[in-house]
Amino acid sequence: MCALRVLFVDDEEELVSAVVERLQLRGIEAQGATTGSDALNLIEETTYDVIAVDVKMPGLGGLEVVQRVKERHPELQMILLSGHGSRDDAEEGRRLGAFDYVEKPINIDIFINILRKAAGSVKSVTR
Amino acid sequence: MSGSQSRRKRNESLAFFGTMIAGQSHELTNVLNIISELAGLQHDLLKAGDDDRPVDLSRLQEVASRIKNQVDRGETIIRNTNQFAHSVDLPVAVFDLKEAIDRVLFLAERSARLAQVELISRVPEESMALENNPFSLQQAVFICIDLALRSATDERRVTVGYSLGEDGAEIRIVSADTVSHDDPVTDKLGFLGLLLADLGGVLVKGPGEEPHNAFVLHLPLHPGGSSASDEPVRG
Repeated sequence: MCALRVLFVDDEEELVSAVVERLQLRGIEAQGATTGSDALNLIEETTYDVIAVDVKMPGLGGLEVVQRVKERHPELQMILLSGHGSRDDAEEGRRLGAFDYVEKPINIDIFINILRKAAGSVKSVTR
Repeated sequence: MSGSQSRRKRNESLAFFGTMIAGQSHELTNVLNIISELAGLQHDLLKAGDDDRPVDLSRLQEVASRIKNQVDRGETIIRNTNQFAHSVDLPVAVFDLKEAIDRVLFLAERSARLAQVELISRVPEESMALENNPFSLQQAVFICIDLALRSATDERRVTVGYSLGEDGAEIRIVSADTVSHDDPVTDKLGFLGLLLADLGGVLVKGPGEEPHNAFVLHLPLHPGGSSASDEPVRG
């Protein structure tokens, strides 16, 4: 079975670093980005199954990232990460095509289940 | 101050207080989320060790040090938020202007980061005792910073500092970009004038004047003290 390929995007660098390592320790090919624009660049260069992106970030926020990714790569599955008070935004993200949203703090096992469900819902396309 | 001005001051003050506290609660949540993940990572690293591959103690130490950094960050947030919350305790108090401005800069950092603007401190090292309303002073400075952040376009830098004179302090908030002075800003400046009048101070220079990028606030050392200018507030 191929390893799941995940891009985790949040403006808190320490959070990205910790979550990426925890995913890698569980056999997931995880990478991180700390801005929406860095994430968009990585998506053009690398093949991922799922992108997990924080709703509230400086510059390009999670909703804009979902919108832009879905325009260019509708097959790519997106999960929004939301904090307190951003659940409405997360719901809006689902309307824009995100697979689901996860509230922080993340429960790593539940998060991985959602990543797998998202990846299983549509086969990724190699670019 | 008229009844409607008093109501506006109360509403604006409450909104300012709420914005600051909510912002810092988000910051503290970020810290706790990171600590949660780092603690989880430590647990994962311990679990990953076995007879063939012993636990890497240096990695555990490194993660523990990262947790400590976040705890320190959290303590700074709580200390500043607590001091800010206590600034409403007395309508007039003797306080250190440097500490008050440093605190506004700390509280405004989240807004600056989200607006992708660099907030630069030019606050002098020396303390300066001021007898006035510390909460209203912080609110006045934040209004100027917020207007500058909202107008940031190309350079995206806002500098905050002050200098001391015999009759008071002059606080300067200068944007590297032109600060808008359209209708909503004019309205906010009107309220700023009200707030400053309450503090016995005056807006010496606003974004309505050349080069349209600075706010200069003059505050007396004591309430009712002499002010640098008796001119009305200018936008």
